[in-house]
Amino acid sequence: MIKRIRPINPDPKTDLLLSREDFRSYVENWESELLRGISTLAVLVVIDSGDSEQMYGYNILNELKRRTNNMLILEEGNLYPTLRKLKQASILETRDIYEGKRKRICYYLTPYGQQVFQHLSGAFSKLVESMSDMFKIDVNLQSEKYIYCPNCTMRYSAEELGEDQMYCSACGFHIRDQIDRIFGGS
Amino acid sequence: MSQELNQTQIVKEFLKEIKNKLPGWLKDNKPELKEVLSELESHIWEKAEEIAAGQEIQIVHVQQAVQALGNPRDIAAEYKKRGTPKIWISQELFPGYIKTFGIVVAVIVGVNLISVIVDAVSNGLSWDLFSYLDGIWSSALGAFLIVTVIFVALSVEGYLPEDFKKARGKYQLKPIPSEKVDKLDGIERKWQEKRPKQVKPPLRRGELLVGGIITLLIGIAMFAEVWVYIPLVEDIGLQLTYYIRLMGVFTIAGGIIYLMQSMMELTNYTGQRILMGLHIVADVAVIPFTVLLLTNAVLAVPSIVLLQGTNPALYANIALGCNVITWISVVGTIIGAISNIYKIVTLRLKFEEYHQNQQI
Repeated sequence: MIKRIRPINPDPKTDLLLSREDFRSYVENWESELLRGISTLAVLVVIDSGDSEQMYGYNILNELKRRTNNMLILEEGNLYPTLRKLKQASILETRDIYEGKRKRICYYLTPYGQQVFQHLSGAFSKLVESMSDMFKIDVNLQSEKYIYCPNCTMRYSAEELGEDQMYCSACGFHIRDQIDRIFGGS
Repeated sequence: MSQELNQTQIVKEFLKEIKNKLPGWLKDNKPELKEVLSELESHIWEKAEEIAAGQEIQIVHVQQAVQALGNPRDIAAEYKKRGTPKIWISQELFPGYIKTFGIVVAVIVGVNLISVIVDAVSNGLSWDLFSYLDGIWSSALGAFLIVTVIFVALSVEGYLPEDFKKARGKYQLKPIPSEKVDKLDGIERKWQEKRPKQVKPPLRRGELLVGGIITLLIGIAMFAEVWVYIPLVEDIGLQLTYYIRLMGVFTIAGGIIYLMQSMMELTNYTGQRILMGLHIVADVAVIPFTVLLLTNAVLAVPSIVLLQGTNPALYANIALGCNVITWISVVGTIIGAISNIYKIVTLRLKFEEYHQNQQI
């Protein structure tokens, strides 16, 4: 993010923080460490919520830019190795879609990948929520739509939950009471 | 037309540069490699189209799209980031590293133990235990360094254990239980028989790697004069020592060549052929020293020379044995060199045959 920011310095005598090499390199390193994990999750969010026939690399990048208001921009060359790694981990699968002569490799979540994604997004959401007070920000977990396993933070949406689901599919924790409390039940 | 050709040329050059820098395990997996490059190519054209903003794509748009994608070295480096970091060697390769080191140490201990036993039998209990322990320690230290360096290099390149597993044909037949054979009708049996025969690749990374480590260790052992720990041949004189150490140098060179081959893309035909050619040179260079070594052994090794007076029959047998071994090793090396020349000539053909077989 900071790579794209240029210091606006009307007065050459002013010592702006962003002009300092040590500050820039420290923040850049911190950002790249922070983004390494988040970008993978963000890519999964885009793939999960998009049209599976449009989820090819270039479009994923553009969607990512659009949905994060140009805040989370992946290096173009870094996206494809990330997608390959997710495919090798059986989280994503590909299908070839042709538009005229051009072949596009489109990505979609496998059933296993879907579960990994629910777990990662649950863990990330709960983490951000737990830190919100520290940073004096508000985080809305949309608890009317989602429940989070109190034991492992696996996230379930109301539509995905089965009528007879009693336990968390990831850790086996009893979540029925949680479901009934939020969505109402017998 | 020429404009379009130049654009394609720019993209092709860029992709070629990335391909050259990709890790060996990815380059060996042809379908995966094809997909990776096709995905990057598709990205460049999409980006160029966006930059052109509805106009016809110009060379400058393609150049900008290529630049936006990043440096080929950085892109290729991202594909190398595989495996879970654990010290310098990835967690996935660590068991293999421990296993390889264990095997090498076991061989070193075994060889030293045999020499201890032989020495104890011939010299009674006067053998020097500390010199043997020292031998084991120094050899194990050398082996540790070599094995570690190789595994660190493999981890940096992003290799995983499955990259070394033997390629299996996609349609390998399972053995049919004898009681079910009769139930198969004629057509099905014919179809089964017609299935493609499994073709082996002419070069395998795992074999080259193991061969490289073993050859390197043998070469180092020759150069480090390990025979001084072996009774009866510990004093072989300056001339034979010189021959063996020179042979050690060529053997080390052979080991390094094997390791370089294992690190290089197996289908880099020119590179592999050059290295295979150099290997032949290193092999053939050993021949004169083998001849000199074995023909001089009966004249220079004191314990053998002594037999000339005390047991002439045994001496004659040893001399004959040395002659036979000389000829066998010379003929063996020549046959090996001819077979390697054949391998160099047919390398591309054999790989193409192998890849065709894989695609069926």
